[in-house]
Amino acid sequence: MISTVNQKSNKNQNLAMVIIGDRCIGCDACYVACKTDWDVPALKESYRTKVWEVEGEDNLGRPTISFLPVLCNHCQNAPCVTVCPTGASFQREEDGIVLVNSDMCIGCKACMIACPYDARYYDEQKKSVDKCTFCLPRLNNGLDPACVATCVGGSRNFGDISDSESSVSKLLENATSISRLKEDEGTLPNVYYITVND
Amino acid sequence: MQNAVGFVRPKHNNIWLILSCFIVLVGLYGVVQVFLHGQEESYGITREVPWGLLIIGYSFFVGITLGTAVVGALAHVFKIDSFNIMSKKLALVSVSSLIAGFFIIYWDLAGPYDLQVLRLVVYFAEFKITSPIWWLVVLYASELPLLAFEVYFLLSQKENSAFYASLIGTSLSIVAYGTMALVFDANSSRPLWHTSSFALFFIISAIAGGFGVVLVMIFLNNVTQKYKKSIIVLSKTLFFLLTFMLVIDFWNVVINSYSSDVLLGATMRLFIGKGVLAYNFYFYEIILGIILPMFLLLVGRFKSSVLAFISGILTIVGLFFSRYDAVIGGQLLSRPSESMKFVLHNYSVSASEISIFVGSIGVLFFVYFLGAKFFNLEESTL
Repeated sequence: MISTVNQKSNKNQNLAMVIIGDRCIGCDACYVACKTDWDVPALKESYRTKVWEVEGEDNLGRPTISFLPVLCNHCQNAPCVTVCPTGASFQREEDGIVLVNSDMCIGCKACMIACPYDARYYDEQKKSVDKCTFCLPRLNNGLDPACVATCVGGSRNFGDISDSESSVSKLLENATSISRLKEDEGTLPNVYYITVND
Repeated sequence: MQNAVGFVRPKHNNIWLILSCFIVLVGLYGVVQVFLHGQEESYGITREVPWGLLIIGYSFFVGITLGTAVVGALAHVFKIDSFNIMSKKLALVSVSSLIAGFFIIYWDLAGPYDLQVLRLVVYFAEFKITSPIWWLVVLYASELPLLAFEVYFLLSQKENSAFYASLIGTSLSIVAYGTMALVFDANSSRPLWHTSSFALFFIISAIAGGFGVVLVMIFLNNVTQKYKKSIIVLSKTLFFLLTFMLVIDFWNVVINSYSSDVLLGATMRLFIGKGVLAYNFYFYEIILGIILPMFLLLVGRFKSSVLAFISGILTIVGLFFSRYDAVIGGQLLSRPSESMKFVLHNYSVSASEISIFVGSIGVLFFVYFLGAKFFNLEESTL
């Protein structure tokens, strides 16, 4: 897959993930790739991204299963950043990525409580809260995030939505529906869920 | 031997001091478990329920600090004679409970053995004024010396200084405890906490807890005859505070049940019928912690020191469970998206958490009896 980001992050980028909902097959390759790449503890409850199985019904009342990939939404209005007492949780001005500086974290877990997306976990080894970084070290090397690179269905897409020529901008432009999780929380998340006509 | 601020107390205090040491030692179990296995394995907390008994304990202990400081202020600031009861002992309880609160919260923070809490000091100048916890640190760091000064001024019989220390210390206690409620309250994604009555309930119930502590202290110090009139005033005030708590609790349940917020509606169902917190809420918090003490105070016509003592204990127990229900209740439900059903999470208190909580009670007693050993805490002349 061709990288959608430059070698180095530039200012005024708005990095986002665009997930094509019905292309996720629930293979959990993203979950495994993320855990492996970033040494996420093996505990089941420690993850930066995962795929939920959503039970529902079709028009005829038959049970259905769909998949919902979730990760940190790198919210523009991130409550986890607001509540952090030391500044360990912060948002990069140049691209909007929300990160945790583990050397500053006191482990109060206020950010875990504040996050409406349950995107954070406490890493006992690091003695710090940890979360998705949009794979910043990979981005700096011109690579897509691990979950994007490994997504077999092409469900996960990543890039700069402030660049109208980026693949994610075009996906959003051509989408038949666009939604974000818990928009009423006012967090302005940067993970988009779309459906496309294909 | 005369101390600069009082007299050395008789030896009998050593028994209580030693006993309190044993209670502190109970906490060793949890402390060792954290050392050997880490917090995640030792505590009952999870990714979804990251705040457990230690946070509950903290809000409980600093609540006692607030309550006892308020009773002290009624005596030293407002000069209401009926509340001028064992001033020095009461002020020392405020300080002791605050230190117990610091002790228990210390074990909740990351890397207690690596002193990662010191990062708060290192990065204090970040001035994270949007963070309730940053303010909490500022306020409680200021409150401890002020309350300690109040004890000192009471011991050295400096009435004027005690007035200012009590005024500023108690004001700070109220602001600090309100800010502690804000630590929960500020989370708009947790509607059980995100209500205007949340902080009010926290403050009122903490003050009730303080009155409970005073009634218990009067009985245990065997001064019920001396404070006969005070018991009546204290009992009536406690009754009023409990009524206020009952009203807030009742209307919270009613109003929240009508909420259009589906998460709040689902959370309220945890507290009613066969909800996982229903027994805790109705039995421990409402019946045991509010209705029964009100009933006992009424039965004793506010005069019975024994019933006031029992009511005091029940109020303190109720205070603990009200914190438990509030803190845990706000975390038990979540859902990843609006299209999914709510997921009910589990929180089971671990033996390590219980031991550290008991150890913290020991710290409260230890600090108090240490003070009682070195200072003359008998009758204030203020």
